Amino acid sequence: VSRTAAAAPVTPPPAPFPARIATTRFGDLVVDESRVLRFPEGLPGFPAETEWVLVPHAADGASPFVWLQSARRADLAFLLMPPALAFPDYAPPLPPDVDGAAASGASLWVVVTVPAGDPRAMTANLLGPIVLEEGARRGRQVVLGDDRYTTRHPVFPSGAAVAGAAGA
Amino acid sequence: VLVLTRRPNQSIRIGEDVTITVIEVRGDQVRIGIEAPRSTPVHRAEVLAQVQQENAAAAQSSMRDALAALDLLRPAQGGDPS
Repeated sequence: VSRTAAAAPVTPPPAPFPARIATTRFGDLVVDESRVLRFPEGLPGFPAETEWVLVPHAADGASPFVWLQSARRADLAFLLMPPALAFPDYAPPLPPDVDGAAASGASLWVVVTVPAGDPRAMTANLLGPIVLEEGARRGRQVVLGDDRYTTRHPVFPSGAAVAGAAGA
Repeated sequence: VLVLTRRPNQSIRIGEDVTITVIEVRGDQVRIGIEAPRSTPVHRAEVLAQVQQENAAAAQSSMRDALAALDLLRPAQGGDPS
């Protein structure tokens, strides 16, 4: 018998859903529990953020981007992009447990970093893709052990982005 | 820091369900086997640090810059003319 749920950190109980978040990017957002995606491990650098919601980038659904907004921290959101948009060959080997989820309809996204005022230098993090299981309302950021990938692949290779790239 | 000396095929148990085994020592490289529950994330420390750093940078992306990025991306993808 494996015990996996060892000493859980003691945290104050979060506000019940539906929760109203005054987000810095999207204004007031009322988050219903049925829309919450749970990241049991948080995200690297944000281990306490286990509850997230997807916010469409454009109201008309015309944008391929989607925002992953923390359901608890008003200022915390990540811009996600389908990797095929800029990296058609991107098909990283996923850990076995994630691979199973991917087979059952999970979607793969990459986190995009857009430097302030310099969108042409935007980069995508191919080392830490996001796997979303929308059916199971679950997600996680996978840290790949694959040195073909870095956290800063230029989305526009001919642009100024190359200067900020961390390796090939 | 606890420092232990181990030889190949010797192990270290951490808690009840994590076992670390030295598999091979060759030159300045050590191959290590790790048994841990799926719920325990195992990462190369420097790789995890890179992702942490990039997440911190990505969290600064603004709405305005994201919209500008999208405008740049659309013609490149042969999308809708606007």
